[in-house]
Amino acid sequence: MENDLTLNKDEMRVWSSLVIRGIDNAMSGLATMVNQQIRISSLSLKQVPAKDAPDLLGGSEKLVIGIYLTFTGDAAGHIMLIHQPEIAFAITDMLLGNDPGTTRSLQAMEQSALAELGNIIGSSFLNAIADSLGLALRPSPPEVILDMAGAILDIAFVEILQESDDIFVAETAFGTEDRQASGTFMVIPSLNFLKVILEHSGVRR
Amino acid sequence: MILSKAEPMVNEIDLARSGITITVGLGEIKVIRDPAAVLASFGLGSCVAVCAYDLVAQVGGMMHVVLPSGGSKVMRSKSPGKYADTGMPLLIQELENRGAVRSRIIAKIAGGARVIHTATSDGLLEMGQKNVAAVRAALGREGVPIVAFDTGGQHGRSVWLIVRSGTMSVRTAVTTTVNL
Repeated sequence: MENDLTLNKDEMRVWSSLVIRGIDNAMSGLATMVNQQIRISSLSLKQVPAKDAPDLLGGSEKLVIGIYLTFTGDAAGHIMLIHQPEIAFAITDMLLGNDPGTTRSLQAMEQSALAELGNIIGSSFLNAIADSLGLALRPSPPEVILDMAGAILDIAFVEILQESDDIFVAETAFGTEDRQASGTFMVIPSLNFLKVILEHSGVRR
Repeated sequence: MILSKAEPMVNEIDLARSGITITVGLGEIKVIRDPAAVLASFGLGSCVAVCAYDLVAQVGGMMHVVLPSGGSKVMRSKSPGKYADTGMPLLIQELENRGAVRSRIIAKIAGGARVIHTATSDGLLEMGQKNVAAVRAALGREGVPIVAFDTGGQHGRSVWLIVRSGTMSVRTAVTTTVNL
């Protein structure tokens, strides 16, 4: 690895508790927005070699809808919310108050509803982390993309791969009770972001 | 962005019949001397797949380029194909090691899309284009001609190289498969 950053146990604990706090906040934002209970079904923090990273979403060729945003400020990184297209359409129906099954494609209105979802989730996540550490983190406007999973992930990976051969990912699967809104929430921090949060939490100097 | 336009994301073209499919992940270089082999990279966004082969020797290779150039950091990387500039000599060398003759090696390239449109940094936005330019330049330095390409655009691709025929097959997220 070019720029070795392997998290030790204490550092992993700090990173993990921050992510959990952020994701909790993000999911309550989502729950308010779709007006349903959201349950987090799994959370994993991983360090994966670049070559294996596209498999994170169950195959890099799979067609998905990604809501993508970056953040900058005291630290930088990427946030993605990935859904199977049918699920994203179902969420869009919830957001727009349509009858289930109304949305069948991604037009301007649907894209903007999903982008708003990205706004809520992204900023709730970042707020929780920024508040815990006293950092300033600014989200970019979200972009809604329908494409192969690998192609969407490339965008987020390019930056960290300039510094590292591995990718750090926080991955959460969540859903409503009837699983209608299941999806994957991914945070891909820059190496600098990891260093900043570790320094701010006092586990690394 | 209408979903129904997209094909099912399974490889239904007649590639599996050819034999072994070897996946080439981000930053990897794979070279094989086996006419039955198929090399494949899936879901390329801004990345570029470089297919290079010698039909006479039945040797084919694929490199999954992620970035144009790594500057001075490259030597320590464990992903030899990550950078276009330093990966290319390794790809050609590997082909030669397996019996390819440099004067017969030709290349086909695919990828380098611009999947996002409003990135906060221009560097990210144009990464696909930069990768394609770097790959072209690196192949030029090796004296390897590019005989076909499918680059740019706004959607992801999957790319296969059939070693037996030198056919590069490209599937785009929203269109049909083309054979180059």
